[in-house]
Amino acid sequence: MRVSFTEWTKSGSPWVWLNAGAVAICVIMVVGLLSLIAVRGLGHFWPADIQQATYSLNGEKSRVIGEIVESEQVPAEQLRDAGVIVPEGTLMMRRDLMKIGNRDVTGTDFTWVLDDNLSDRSNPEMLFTAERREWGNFYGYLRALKEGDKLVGQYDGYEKTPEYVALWESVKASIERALIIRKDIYQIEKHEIGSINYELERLRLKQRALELKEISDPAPYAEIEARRKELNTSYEGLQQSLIDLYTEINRDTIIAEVSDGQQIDIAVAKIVRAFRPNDMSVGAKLIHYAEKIKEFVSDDPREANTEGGIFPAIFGTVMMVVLMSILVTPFGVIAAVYLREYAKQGFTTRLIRIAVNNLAGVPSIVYGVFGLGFFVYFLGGNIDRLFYPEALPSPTFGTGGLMWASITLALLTVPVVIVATEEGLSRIPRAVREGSLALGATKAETLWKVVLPMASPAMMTGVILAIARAAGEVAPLMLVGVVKLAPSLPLDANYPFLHLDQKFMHLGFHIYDVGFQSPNVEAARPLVYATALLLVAVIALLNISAVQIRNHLREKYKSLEM
Amino acid sequence: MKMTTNAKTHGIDISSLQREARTLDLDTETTTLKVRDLRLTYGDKEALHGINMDIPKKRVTAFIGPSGCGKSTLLRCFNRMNDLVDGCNITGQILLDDNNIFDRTVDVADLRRRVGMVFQKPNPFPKSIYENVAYGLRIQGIKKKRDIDETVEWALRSAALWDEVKDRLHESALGMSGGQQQRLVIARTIAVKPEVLLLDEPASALDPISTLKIEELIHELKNDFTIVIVTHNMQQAARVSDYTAFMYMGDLIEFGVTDTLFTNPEKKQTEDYITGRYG
Amino acid sequence: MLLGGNAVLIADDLGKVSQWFLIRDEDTDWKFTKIREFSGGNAAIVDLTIEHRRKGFASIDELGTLRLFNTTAERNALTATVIEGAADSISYAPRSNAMFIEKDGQLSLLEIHNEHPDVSWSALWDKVWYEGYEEPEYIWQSSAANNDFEPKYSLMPLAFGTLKAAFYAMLLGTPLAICGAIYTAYFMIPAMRRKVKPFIELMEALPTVILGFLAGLWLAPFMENQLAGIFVTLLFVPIAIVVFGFAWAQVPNKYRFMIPEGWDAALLLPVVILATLFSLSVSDGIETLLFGGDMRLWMSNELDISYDQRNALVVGIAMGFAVIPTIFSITEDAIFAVPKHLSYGSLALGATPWQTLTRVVLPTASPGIFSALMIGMGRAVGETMIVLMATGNTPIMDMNIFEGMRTLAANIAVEVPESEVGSTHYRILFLAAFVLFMFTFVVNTLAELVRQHLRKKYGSL
Repeated sequence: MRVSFTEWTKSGSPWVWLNAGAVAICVIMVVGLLSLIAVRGLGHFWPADIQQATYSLNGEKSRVIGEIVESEQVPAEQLRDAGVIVPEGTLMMRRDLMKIGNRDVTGTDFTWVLDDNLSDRSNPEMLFTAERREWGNFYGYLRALKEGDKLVGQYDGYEKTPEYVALWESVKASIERALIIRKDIYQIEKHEIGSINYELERLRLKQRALELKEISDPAPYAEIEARRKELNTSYEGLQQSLIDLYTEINRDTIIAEVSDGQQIDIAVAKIVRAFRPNDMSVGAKLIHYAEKIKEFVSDDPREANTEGGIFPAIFGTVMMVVLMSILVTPFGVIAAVYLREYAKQGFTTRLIRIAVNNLAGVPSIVYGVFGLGFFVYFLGGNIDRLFYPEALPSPTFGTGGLMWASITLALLTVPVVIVATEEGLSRIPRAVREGSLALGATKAETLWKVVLPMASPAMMTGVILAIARAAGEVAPLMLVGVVKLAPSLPLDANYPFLHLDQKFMHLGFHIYDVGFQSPNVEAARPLVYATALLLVAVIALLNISAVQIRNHLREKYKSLEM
Repeated sequence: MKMTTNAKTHGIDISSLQREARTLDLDTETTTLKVRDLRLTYGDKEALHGINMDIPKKRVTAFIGPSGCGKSTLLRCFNRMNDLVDGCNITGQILLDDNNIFDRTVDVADLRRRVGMVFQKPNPFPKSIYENVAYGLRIQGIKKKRDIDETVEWALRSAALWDEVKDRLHESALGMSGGQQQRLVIARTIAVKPEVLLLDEPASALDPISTLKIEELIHELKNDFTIVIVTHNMQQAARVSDYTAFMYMGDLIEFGVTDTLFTNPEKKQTEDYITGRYG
Repeated sequence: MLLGGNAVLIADDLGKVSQWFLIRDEDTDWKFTKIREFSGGNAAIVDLTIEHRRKGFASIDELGTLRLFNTTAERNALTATVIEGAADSISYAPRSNAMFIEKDGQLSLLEIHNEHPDVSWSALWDKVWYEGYEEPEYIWQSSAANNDFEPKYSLMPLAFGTLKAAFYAMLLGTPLAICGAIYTAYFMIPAMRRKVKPFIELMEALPTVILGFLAGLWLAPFMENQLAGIFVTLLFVPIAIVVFGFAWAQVPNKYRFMIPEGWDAALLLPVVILATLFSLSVSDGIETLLFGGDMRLWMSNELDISYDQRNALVVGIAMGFAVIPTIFSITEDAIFAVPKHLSYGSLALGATPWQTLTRVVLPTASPGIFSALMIGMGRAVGETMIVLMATGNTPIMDMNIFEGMRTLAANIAVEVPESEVGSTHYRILFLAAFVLFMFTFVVNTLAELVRQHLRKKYGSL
């Protein structure tokens, strides 16, 4: 049917379509954002093929080896200005960002190459990638393996021969061995020596406390001294075994050829994992993928957080959120119950509600400043003076830490819990309460036995929403206790097990820190996407479950109202 | 509405029907709206099971029946208000001047301008009294102040509201009493000069005096408009209508001259209902 | 001579002290210019002394009245008669916490508590003529390399940056959020609404650190490359939507009715995506055609607009993204809460849905929409991570959309961890937090009052 344009405009349809378009844009933005994070985050773990090609620039030819990360179009003009010889008549040129690794040799991880100038492209299956503890990835050809000074295997070609396979297998075995030794070293360094150090520090504080109290009785001092000696002896023993382990682990080296033909040595101890992506089947890649994901969620970070896992950040976030919910739940629920059930509705309650709503709108950074000024410096400072005088001037609670961060976030999220709980309480039909009261139950009994159980899903919703909010909040944490790299987890085997005064790592801050403060942003970016994906996934999951609970609850009481 | 005794019911009916001493006959009337095999389903539940009827022009037709019989639903079909209900599906036809109103080429806004509707609960807009009545004119693009003024006054007079509100035309309509609000809504509706006026239990939310005023108003309006009224108050139907349709469980049971239907119903179900055996 | 060796203080017999320093005039000659004057009493000043670490000085006049001043803050911190008659000379202790007064060969020691002399209303909120500057300016510069430094604590650039960021965020977020809410609440069929609404609200839970990270590391470089494309998109997408809507009305009914009623909005998804892709793909051509290949270059050459990679436009988009769900959700609720019988009443009079919306529904919902905007504004003002990550954090005052800014919130996040506890700087940062708090407090209270007013007004509906 034909509709004239004026008629169509008169009916207001263009506006309706524009409004519909706004919804469409919003939806596309959300989907686009989520998929951007998902694609980039998940792609990070996939073993990408390594390309080898001959690259010619201004007449000079060189061999490049690496992964092509992204491509873009650049105006040829710009390249000409930069002194690149570009054929006449081209307006735009494709430029690829290549991850060439080998930062120890080349100085940078990434390089831009002009796509048209790449020739003889191939994916040789002999190329291998080594993930290292320092200097980032290595790309190149395996040439030899040495045990100490002894040459174990050697290979010079570019073809897959049995000889090569044998060499590759022995390298793998060597890496495996180094990893096992590293585990032992880690165990000793982190746990055994760690707990000795911790105890020594406690002894020092104990002694200092005694001195502060001006106790002159030598017995306790002697006791401390004896224990200290004991600890020092076992420390020395451990130190010796560490030295042995280090000699062991540093035994092997491999020799590998890099893109320009140079041969370099790599200590096997520095290699986390070596693989030949071009020679992997899809199945092998999937296994590799799964391993990488496991490493990501369960390992410590390496190389200034830009490689490895994010386990401490996950742990810190969870710890903080758990503490926060322990604090916020009773507080928020009691406040809501009082407001709704006991307080006389009037000017005061109205004022309180406005205040609660206002509290929800206060910028989070303001909470951070408040937490820093009031909790950390005022409360924490006083606690230190009263309970930990021996540790001064180094602060115990007088500096940002897990506890203050949790309390600050609890304060930040308390309005969420109050509002959700109140809503739940107000949905409970009057008749139910009256029914209970009419049976002779007191107000408290009614509340405890009837009202609260019925409102519990609403409270759950509130707490889940609070957790989701807290998990994603970063700004206040930056002021009250998050650090880029915490030396140890806030929960460990040393008394008192839970260290509330310790600083911790956090997923959100990790994103900010790695993405913006790290020296090698380009290399860290995929990891940041992966971290972001994890955070988004957790928060989306929490929110969706909150919505589900809320809907379930509404359904449940819908029938009750009939 | 509960009916207490038969005698009382009939007593009221007869006395109120005495006023209309003229002869009415459905077959001789001009028809405005023709309903043809109208079926309506909400989801998988059928609410109207094939209704056929002709609504006579410039007469008052009342729909009566127990709650949930589909009378309001049928009424809302006449100006396609059911389009706004989710999951509502209609088959069959309603012909307004021989054009099917369900045809997808029909401009719904235009249809609703021709078939106005007043709802159960008064729903004045949160605007002034004047703006409420002028609203329908403004949306038609009438801009001349004089025209609007004239029509507003005419509509308010027709709705017997002019004298009560002429001094406070620019005050908020939300400050009026319920009865006034309902008459304002009627004034608002007739201001756009529709052909048909649908009244969906217009007096059920009002007190007896306001109800009386509305009923008087309906009498007046009959000269200019075709009126269809839904009510579950049988006395009201008897008092104001020329023709009455009795509906039950989504079916049109009986449709005829009001006097006849109340005094001498053809169907057993109708008799049971008007004598208060159920409802 | 004042600290830093850039300025000279001159005292006269009338009790006035004036500060002078070298300014380069129009002809780029150095000229000695009087910057400001401090007056106190009418007695002749006997001696002046300057603080060793701050921009403060003290004067004593012949009546023995001691006055402490700070030049940056233009403040007279203390006026007290400390000795009888004229002193011979005065001198500050190195830490400025004590002072010697010499009279007739006798020294007296005064203890001075003047911890934060460099703060005053004018130092925080007015233009200040700092040493070495050509004219009075608003500057935030909390630390510098050398010790002779005059701290510049003007909150104006930060407040300005905050409002600028919020303004661009609202500019982008408001139309999208409100139009989206209108459609969702009023035109969308319930089945679709039940899916779309929670989906957009999910955005609200998205941590802002992620938005900031994407804005800084993905959007900013992307925009740098596709600047023309972004503008073409902003222009072309609405046009494409309307054109598609009109074209859809022309499509024969047979095809039109194949899409269930109400779901035709879903058709816009591919339309918007295609329009965006199209705009981005033609952007190169347009750049070559209109701007000689590079829009940024053209702008800086022809219009003299400088371009930062992390600029207000990036922040606007990212933070717009963050405020959309807030505004959307509240607006949607407000529109949806408008009683159905009102719109039925209007529809029954033959109004089109659009007329009903603009004449009945929106006026009724307007207080709710206003309160949504206020709350969105509050959120934009207080947002930290996005601006921290997506701007260059340069405290400049410039409305240019292609330059960055530093907001109060980001400033706090950046500087609090490195400021010395209890110092003036630290306290000013707390003051900044308080300013933020007050702003959101006022805005939120306003929103809440409007909402309560609304509830009262339409309670009878």
